Amino acid sequence: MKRQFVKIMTVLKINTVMCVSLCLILGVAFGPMAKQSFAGEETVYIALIEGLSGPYAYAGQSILAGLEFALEEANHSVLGKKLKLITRDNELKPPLAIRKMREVVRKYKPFFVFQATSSSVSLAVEQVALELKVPLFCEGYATQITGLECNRYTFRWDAPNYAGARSGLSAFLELHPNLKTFYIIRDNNASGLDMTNIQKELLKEIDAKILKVVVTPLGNADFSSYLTEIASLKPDAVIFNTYGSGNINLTKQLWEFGISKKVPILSAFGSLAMFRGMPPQAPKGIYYGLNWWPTMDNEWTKEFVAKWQKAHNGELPTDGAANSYNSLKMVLAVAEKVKSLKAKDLILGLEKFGKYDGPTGKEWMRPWDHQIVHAFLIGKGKAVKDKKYDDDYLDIVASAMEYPNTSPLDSTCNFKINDEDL
Amino acid sequence: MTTSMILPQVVNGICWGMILGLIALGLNIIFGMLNVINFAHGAFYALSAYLAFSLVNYLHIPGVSTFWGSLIIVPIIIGVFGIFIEKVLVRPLLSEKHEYQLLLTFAVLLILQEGIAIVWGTVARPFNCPISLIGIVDLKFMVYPIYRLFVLALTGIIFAALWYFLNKTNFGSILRGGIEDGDMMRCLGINITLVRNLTFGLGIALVGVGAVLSAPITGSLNPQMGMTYLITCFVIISLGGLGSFKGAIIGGILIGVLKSVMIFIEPKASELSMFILMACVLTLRPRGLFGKR
Repeated sequence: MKRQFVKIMTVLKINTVMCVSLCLILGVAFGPMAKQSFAGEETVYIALIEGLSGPYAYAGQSILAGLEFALEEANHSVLGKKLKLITRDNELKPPLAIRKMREVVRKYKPFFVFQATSSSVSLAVEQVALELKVPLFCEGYATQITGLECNRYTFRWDAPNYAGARSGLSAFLELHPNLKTFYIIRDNNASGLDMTNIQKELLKEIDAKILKVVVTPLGNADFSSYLTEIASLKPDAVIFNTYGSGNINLTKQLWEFGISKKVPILSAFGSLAMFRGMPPQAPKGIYYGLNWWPTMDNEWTKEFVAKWQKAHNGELPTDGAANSYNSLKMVLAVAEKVKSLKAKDLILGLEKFGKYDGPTGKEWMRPWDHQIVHAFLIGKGKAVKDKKYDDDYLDIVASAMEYPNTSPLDSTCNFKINDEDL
Repeated sequence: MTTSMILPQVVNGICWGMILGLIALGLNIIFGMLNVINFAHGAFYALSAYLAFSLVNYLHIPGVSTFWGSLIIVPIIIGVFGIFIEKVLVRPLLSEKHEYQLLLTFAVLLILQEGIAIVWGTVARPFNCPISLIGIVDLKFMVYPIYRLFVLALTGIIFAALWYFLNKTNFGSILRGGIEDGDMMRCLGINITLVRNLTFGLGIALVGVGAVLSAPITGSLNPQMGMTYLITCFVIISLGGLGSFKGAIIGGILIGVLKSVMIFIEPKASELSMFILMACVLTLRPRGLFGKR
């Protein structure tokens, strides 16, 4: 037995030595040739540092799908160079996002970086973008991303909380003018806090009373204690500023407790990706703030939805996909126009982008804070019997466009526009 | 703040606490019998929920691919898997130091968690309430979903059945004897290795029941979902007493009610409150409320 074992080990050792030698010979012989064959085709990179797992993974995966779709359309090339997407999961942790962004920028030198969900992560990575001088599309909702904390390297398409809260709540109050008492549930993050503070200001203006503001952990699973409290306090309306799986669970439980039947409810954020995770009956009667919806009546949306459905077996795209697809198309269009992938050229090109036809119709890249200005929508959840197809969750009932910093003088963002000193 | 406002929070806390107690009981039985702190408990919870999700949504087996089917099938599957894990991984380390067992169960946790992410993806999966239990009941002092009342009743029945099993059957006596003194049981000619193996399976099967029951309440599944419950379960068994049947159930209900009431009083302190309660109880009574060692 022992002799057999020794024999086997000897044969294995000989084979290992032979394999290693063969690899070395092949490496020495063909290595330079391999280098030559790749030298003709230079590869450039873009990167996505996103929450691809955890409570906001719905949104993260949508953003990734949109970028991949835009890459396919661009034939994975820009300015005659091969274009590759590098992805990293930031797990919604700002320190991890910072580390991964540094690692990706150092290793691949991407000419543009994308990051979407979680304001806390956005606020962290936009400072890294400034430090490493790499342009960034960053889609957290916190107002300060393109406000107090803005910088020349950071751009955003999603409406900031200010626009979302003002547009969304104003439209909600117009639809329900007699509401006087409110109960607010918010995520325990920068965006939830920012959104709630803006809503509080607006509710103060109309002398409404806020009975309670409760803060829940991200992706909270059980809201039943808040819901029994809502049933006891009997507010005129409920507002919830939660996102991702927290939003899904809360919508579902509001429906299970029968609260959405009795009380008008506004969810500051909504997304097709989130609706797909709910029982189809749950969103009925609830109002949702939306950056985009696939049935919007404009040329960009019709064209994008048709292309997407053709490529994805008839499935409708989400707002995250529309957002990242549009953002990457803008970046590539600027790169082709300025014939450069340098950060400075891309930033100056985007600052001069001006008005264009985008996902929500007429949109505008505002040069003084890099915030894209577009319509913000309010949708109302449909009853299952009224749905025409599976993803037909909402009727769009209102649209508004109330942005902060309406002129360079009012702006809390103070970088010099078109300054070439970047 | 009035009684009519607090009472709904208490009812809700008891409902959630019963589920937590069920999951913690599995952890406690394993600790009591094998003296192993099973860090992988949370991952078994997540795996059970995902198995139920697949059974209901993808397998389309007539009569089985329903919530009711998964409530029976999943605990059996996960229990058998637990038996396998005990035999292959845990048993060889039973005589080793606690550190090795902790490292092993932590490794199993990570492997299962990553395995779930590979098989089912990282995007949260929806898990809906069975149609027959959708709706609310007016209890006069509050309205409450039918499904949660069902959970309350079923967990009560499971606890009663388990109590009967542990206290009134031969296997229950052996199991309790094994918890008290394994060596003595061996001297009496009882195959304690087999008893430990089956006990591990039973503990994991209880997690399976808890996962299937709680999935429609939590509504969506994600690979990391077990971690939250793991921490809460450790608090519950520390509070109730390591290895105690009664301790796991009462500890679960106490934590459920405390968290629920604290949400009403001061939401930000809700999570913190359970750790404060645990610290207070352990300071006054280090072996927990019902612990014997």
